[in-house]
Amino acid sequence: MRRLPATPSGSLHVRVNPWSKSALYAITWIICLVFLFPFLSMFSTALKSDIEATSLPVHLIPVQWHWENFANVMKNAPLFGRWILNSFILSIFPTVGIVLASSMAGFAFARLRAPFKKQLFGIVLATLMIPTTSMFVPIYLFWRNVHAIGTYWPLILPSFFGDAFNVFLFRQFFASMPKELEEAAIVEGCGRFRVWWSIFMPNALAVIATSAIWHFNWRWNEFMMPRFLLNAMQSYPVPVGLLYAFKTEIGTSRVNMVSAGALIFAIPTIVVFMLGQKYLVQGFVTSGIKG
Amino acid sequence: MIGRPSICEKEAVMSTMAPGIRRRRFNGRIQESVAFYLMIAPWVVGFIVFQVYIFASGLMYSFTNMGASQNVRYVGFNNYIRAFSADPQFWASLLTTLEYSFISVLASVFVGLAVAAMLNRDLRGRALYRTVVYLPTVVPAVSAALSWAFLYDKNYGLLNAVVEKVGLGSVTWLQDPTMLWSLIIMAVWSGVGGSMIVLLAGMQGVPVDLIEAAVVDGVGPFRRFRHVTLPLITPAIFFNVVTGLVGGMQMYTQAELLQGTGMDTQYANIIRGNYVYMRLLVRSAFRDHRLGYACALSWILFLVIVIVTFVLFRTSDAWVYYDSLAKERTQP
Repeated sequence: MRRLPATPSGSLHVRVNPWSKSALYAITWIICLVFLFPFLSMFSTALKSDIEATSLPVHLIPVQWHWENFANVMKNAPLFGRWILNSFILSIFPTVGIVLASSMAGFAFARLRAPFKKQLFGIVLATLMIPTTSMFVPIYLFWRNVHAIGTYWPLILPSFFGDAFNVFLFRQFFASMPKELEEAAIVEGCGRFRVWWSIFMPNALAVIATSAIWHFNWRWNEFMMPRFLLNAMQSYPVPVGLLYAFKTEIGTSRVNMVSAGALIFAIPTIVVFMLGQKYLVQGFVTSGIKG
Repeated sequence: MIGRPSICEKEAVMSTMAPGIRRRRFNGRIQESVAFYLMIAPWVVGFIVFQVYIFASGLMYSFTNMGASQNVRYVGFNNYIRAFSADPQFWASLLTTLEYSFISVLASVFVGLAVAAMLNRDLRGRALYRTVVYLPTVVPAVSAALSWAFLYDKNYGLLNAVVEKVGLGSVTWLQDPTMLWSLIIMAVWSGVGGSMIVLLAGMQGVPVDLIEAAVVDGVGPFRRFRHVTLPLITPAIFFNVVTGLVGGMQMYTQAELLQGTGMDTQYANIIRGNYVYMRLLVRSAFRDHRLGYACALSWILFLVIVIVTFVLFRTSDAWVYYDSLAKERTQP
């Protein structure tokens, strides 16, 4: 895995005119502000009262700050806590599955010799690009045929078979590990599964983190699959639940409540991102440049 | 990996060994193969069931009238003919989807390139800026889409508050003909982070000696960027364009949530700029219950994506620079 250098190697310490330097800072700040603006607007909506959220003129800074809105999300949508739990279930289990299955296959592709290995790995590479969402309707029909609509099976089970992207990610990492690592163990009669589980996996925490963070984020974001494969309010994850909650009689939604809920929902991904920024970026880069 | 000569060496050694040892070696080989196949078995099964089978069944259903009537029967190419000639939404939504994905991907790459070039300088607080630009990529699509839906709201949205202050009057962001552009702006906002990260990594991989040589030769910063840095990061750009297009053509969540205030408007009136292909697909399957037709639509989208990707790969020879030495270096 290629490391990013700590300092930008593409830039040199050429003398820069101080005016252009401050202009650069000004532009950077404006860009940052533009990127933060939707968050600020949402935060401000979340803090407004029901009346202020839908009254003119619109203020970026709320007249009254209703911090209790965040707590009221729970009160107004009694199932919100349940949806959070569901979101965690539907993110954590698939993540465990994807790491186990993909690392195992990745290990085999990286360290074991067998006939047709090259061809099989060719299939892995070919399926990296397969657009699965386009097959949404056949996927739905598949789960309907096995009477699994409304259960969590369709959203959890497939992960336990691994996926091409993560197999590839693990394979690249394991292939770069030194040969001495397994040689002694094999001479002593240690099985391949043991080698994978107790020698390679403990040394692969970085790539496990990369894979897990990516998959967790992806599952946490998932909207389309749970929306059509589940059919009961109490089994929805947050994104789908939010869609149905907080409706008023005339069909519009209570924007302040929805904003507060959506912000609460975004917290775990932001925390995961902050904790694992290094790994996320690494995953992006490895998959991108070597792919 | 073992190169040719070492295999020859091994064979030479083995041929001088006692037959018993050779057999043990052979058994070891078999054991290794068995272990290999056991370990990749989950992935193989998953591949066969969730990719091969699902794609094949989808193809099969696409030739039936499934959902349209009680008794399912084969209808030949009717679904495809219907899509190409009888469904008024088909071409329109396909066009919207292509416009959306191409424009937003190109814009994301351009903005990402500019931001990456800026952040590749010696700025104080680089990490902070990078995090801010990357944040929209991390935030759940649902949260992001909802925040934009409120931002775009004609009456109570902050965007119009700003636009009216400037004196441009109020813009109906979520209606045609602005809708598509609103969707694109949002896509760029959330897409720049990803392309910036990949491009930044690409830029940091540019050898310093190349840049130094250019500086010594008196090449200005813009030409330096254009003729030294840019060609070397074309693989990163290519990756961005391909993944961005494949993702963009399957976009659904954002389009659905951005309609009105985003709440449950799946069956509401059609706004052209927001009616992407995936929405047509969902509508055919879950409102009209034409499942066979929806499967045909699935396959058409799949083929369109394959064709676009294929064409991109074919053009890549002309503009993507692959450093063969660098490639060898990264190979295990």
